[in-house]
Amino acid sequence: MTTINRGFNRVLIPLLGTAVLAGCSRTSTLSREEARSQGRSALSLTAEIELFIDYIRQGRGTCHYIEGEASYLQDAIRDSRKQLQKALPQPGTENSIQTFMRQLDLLDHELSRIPFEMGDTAALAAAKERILKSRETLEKANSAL
Amino acid sequence: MKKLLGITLGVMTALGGFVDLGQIVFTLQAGALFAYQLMWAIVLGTAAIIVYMEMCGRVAVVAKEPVFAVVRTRLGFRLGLATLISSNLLNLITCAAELGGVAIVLHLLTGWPERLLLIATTLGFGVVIYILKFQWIERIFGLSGLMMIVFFVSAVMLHPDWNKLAEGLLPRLSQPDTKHTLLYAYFAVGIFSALLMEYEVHFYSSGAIEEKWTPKDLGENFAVASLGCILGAILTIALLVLGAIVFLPRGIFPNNLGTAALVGAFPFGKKALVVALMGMMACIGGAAIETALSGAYNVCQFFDLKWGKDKRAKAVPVYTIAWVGMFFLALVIAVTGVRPLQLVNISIIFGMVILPLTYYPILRMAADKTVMGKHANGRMDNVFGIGFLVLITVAAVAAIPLMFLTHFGKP
Repeated sequence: MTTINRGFNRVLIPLLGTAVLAGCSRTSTLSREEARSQGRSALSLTAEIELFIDYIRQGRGTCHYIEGEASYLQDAIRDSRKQLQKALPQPGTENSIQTFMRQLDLLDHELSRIPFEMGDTAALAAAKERILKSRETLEKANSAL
Repeated sequence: MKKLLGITLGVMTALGGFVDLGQIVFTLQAGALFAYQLMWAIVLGTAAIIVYMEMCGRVAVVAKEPVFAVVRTRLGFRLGLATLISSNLLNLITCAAELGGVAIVLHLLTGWPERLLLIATTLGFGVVIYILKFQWIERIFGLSGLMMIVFFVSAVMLHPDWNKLAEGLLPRLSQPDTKHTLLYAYFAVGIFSALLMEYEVHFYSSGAIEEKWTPKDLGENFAVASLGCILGAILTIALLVLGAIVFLPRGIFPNNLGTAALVGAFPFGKKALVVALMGMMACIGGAAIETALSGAYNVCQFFDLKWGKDKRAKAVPVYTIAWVGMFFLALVIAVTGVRPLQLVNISIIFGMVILPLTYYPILRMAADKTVMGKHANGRMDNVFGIGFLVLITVAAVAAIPLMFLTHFGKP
């Protein structure tokens, strides 16, 4: 039984180790097309946030909905950010990918403030302005790919 | 009058129970990417589910054999068992996705912690199944699902382009590039699969036996299957329209249930948003219950064990353990934090792959005159049945390659 266990361990431990290292390491390369797809996804999220802010400004969202939706959108942004961070960019795409990550961080920050600004029309209008600028930056970075 | 009332109630229940998480997500995304171009997939899927749902109900009533008893007798034990295992794995994944979806919607409604809501929802559903009779479970979730009508009203209020909508009835094969062609095919398969999800027919045929339908009720079977699905399809078309009008021009590819609720109440205020969220909760919750119960029905019907929602739990031990087990395992999957929308993507695509193995035995049984007698399929039933089975098989073969080629439909 001990021999079986030892043999099993000899195979299993290196396999698990490799799997963990593979999971943690930045092994996947992000092709230009995949980078473009990530850019489109970031742009879609930006548009989704703009729609969300307009909805709040019109006083049509409930308090719980606004808080919950803001946190789900933040989750989506963080997922996108993680995917970009994990992958190795293809040469020539690094600048665009850095821009995507910076803009995603900005969007994350904006979303974290939204629940506190829900009754403040001026603050929401300013947030929308900043998000529009983010969108322009993202569009430029995406078209540079 | 009583009969008419029964049919109306049945149709409304079927309508409310028609839409689930997969359908909401896939249809909104399809509208956001291709506007009305995939209308034909909704129409085709609806026609297919009507044909097969009616057949499943008829077989259950006349031959007294629900779907998985037919699967065992017609496919043989080995292939039947493989179908049972795959179907129940899919039911489990779908159930986990739907439970996660209900928790998200409840979180958006109440602000309470999502994990807590997930556990409370699962326990709540368990209690509901344990306490309520089959008919009441069906009615409560089906009728509350009617709140989804707010999506239809929103779609109409936003003035869709009816001509373009009609043009969508014909498939458009020319897309700008290969990527769009693949995405178009992926969403066509996804919509088709979401409409034909097999737990719907498992639940429906078991329900016909639970409610003790007799051949006298075959008219009701036809009315409920056809009208319920047609009205459900109208709701699905409303989702496509909303995706096309609200998301497409803004460049949004919706991947979030909260945004789906927002679009359902788009022209209205806070109250409509709450109604949209509650409608989604009822539909998704109903689907969670249907998948858990389907898992239990499938096991018992396949192994010829006693089953029945309205029997005492002790009299049907395997059935009871199976649905409790389905809920428990689905909760374990959902609580790990896997996103419901990721799960639903998997369940829809892999669900498509095993659809032929459920629908083929049903078609054979419904066409068998020795068993079905005068209620066997007529010529037109067979023509439509075979036609849709061919389409289902083509979609089943294409589903997984399309999933990989499009990275789960990522634009």
